[in-house]
Amino acid sequence: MDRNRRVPTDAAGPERTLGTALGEWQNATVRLDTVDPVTTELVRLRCARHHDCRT
Amino acid sequence: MPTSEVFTQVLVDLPDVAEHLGAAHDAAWTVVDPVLLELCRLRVAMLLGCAAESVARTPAALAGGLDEATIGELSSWPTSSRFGPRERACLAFCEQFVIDVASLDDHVAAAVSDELGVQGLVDFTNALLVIEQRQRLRLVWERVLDSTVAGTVEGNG
Repeated sequence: MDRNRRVPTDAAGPERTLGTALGEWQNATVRLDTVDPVTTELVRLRCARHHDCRT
Repeated sequence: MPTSEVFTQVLVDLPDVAEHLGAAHDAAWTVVDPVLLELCRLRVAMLLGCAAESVARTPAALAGGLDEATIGELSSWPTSSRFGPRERACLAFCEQFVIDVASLDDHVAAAVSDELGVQGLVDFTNALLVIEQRQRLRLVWERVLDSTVAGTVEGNG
């Protein structure tokens, strides 16, 4: 797998409306408290691995 | 039943999530050519087996000139003359995104960047994320919920 950067570091983020909506959606999801924090974290880490997100 | 109505039903007690998910979906269709995004939405539906999304059509894409003959050849996009370099670049990206996003090759991303520009690649990726996750969520809900959602598979998008 090639791990070169696909977007320059100085490039703009997603279009503002879409970027804001995605951020708010993720924030709203993280604020949910039905699932316990440990399970939530395990799922988050599994998703990060699936998406090859190393941050 | 349209996917938007499924979301409204399932997220009835989570209006905050529903509102922002809806806003992200609306925004996705404004930052990417709707014909291009519709082709990808339909390809995602084929790959995931989302029957309701496969039969649905987005009005903005039809208004943009997308026809049923093109949709009928969508699974043959690598060879069909109905698809040009722009569509092929985005559909290749779309397929890898759905099947194994962590293995997405640089040349596949570069092809989209060549066609849409760097900003276009960023926006296309985010829009694709939205339409893919909506379908995955719908499919999961259809399987795990035994309420009205379970009866929506044969619905109209």
